[in-house]
Amino acid sequence: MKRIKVVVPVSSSMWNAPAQLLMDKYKETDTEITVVNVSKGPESLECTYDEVFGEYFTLLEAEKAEEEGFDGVIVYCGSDPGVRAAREKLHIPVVGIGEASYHLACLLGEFFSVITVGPPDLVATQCRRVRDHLRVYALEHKCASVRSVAIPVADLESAKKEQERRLLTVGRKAVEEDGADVIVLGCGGMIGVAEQLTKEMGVPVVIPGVAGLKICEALIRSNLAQSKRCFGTPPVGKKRVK
Amino acid sequence: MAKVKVIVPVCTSIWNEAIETLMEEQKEPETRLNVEDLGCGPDSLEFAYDRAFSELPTVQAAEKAEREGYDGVIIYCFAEPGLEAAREALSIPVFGLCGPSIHVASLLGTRFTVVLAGSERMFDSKRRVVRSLVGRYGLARQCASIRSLRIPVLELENQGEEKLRKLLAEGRVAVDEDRADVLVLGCGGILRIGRDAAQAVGVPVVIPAIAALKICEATIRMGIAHSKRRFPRPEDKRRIPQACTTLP
Repeated sequence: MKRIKVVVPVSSSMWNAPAQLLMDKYKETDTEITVVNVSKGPESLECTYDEVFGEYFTLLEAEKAEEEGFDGVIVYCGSDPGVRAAREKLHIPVVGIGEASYHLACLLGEFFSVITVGPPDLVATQCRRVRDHLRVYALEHKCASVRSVAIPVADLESAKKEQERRLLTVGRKAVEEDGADVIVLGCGGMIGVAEQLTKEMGVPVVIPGVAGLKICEALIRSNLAQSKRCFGTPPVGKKRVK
Repeated sequence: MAKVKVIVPVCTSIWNEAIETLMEEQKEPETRLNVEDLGCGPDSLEFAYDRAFSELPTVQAAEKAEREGYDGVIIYCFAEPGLEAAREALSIPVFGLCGPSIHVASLLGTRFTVVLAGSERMFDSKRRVVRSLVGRYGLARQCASIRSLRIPVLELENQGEEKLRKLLAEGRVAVDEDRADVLVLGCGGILRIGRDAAQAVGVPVVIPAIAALKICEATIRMGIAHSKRRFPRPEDKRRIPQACTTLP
């Protein structure tokens, strides 16, 4: 049995049920998924400012997961908040759904496009954040483009039809104009919208939550976790004013 | 249930059992595996010359696997002979050993070292081949170094202790001098490496058989495969498909 804790780094519980359903659909039979949101933090992560508020509480939740005996942690947000900090502290594998998606995309094609979300006036900011992350992962040269459906995270569930419609328009541009051969959905809140895009565009669409799940299961099964050589354990007995 | 075909792209069956044992241990409960060599082609893949003899029968074996109803194919060699061609021909996911291993390694750390096998005199040429393969996957900057056990592939199985000793030695140099934080075994024939090896080196060791199996299972479960935009299906025309049987 593999026990995985999925930490949704927002204070809203609106994603717990959809994320649980998604994970349960794709998990292996002997995997057990527990989805929790952080008790404090931002309602959604749509800029770097939000991210800082999300990171700290995500880290605490990840530490708790290891204490509770979970075998792996998935941080359920495309911007992977707190993943690197949690990797330093924890010995069980910590997987960010963004990073997992990008690597999986590289295994399926040559160039991927990321389609992200967020308020219309923050489209450029959101796209910059994705590119920032890709630079950290040293994968920016594998990215054909970063585009957005320009829908705030909080509206994704209620505006699903509109989301699907825009995804199709933006996805077509990514493939035909930017030369993407794989599409990565950039936000964990984009649930149940990949099918039509896959059918219309004929390219693989990576659903980040599923990519994170499969990578986490793979690491647990193969007895692998982050390298302690580069994610070294933080010094103990140091004040950090929790 | 996911049915995975593992094609060992050489003419010898000496690897099949060890590969099957390892994969059976690591597979998901619902996966069904079939490991098979080509029955033709080279004894081992160490030269571009060897590779030419391996690619055609490998692609044909992959096509056969899809016709037989397999859900995914693994070409069991780090040099990934025939991978691009098989990806064009097939709609089910096809993976070699290199891609999954180095991407898994990149999810565990920031700089990986690939430890190859093969004869001493081939090391430099093999290193170039693997370096360009790593580059094609976009991970050139994550690659700290490429080293080798300097044991010919066909001698790997009967050099158990020597293999482990050299792996630890190369691993230590990779970590201390090349600043690697993850090791990738760069040959499918480096088998029977216990968990203690990773412990001794002090960094995660990615075993290509397991990385490829897990990535293949994952994509099957996700219902996705390589992009047909990148690997479009070849048009029908004459290609003399029985070439393999007419080889000298």
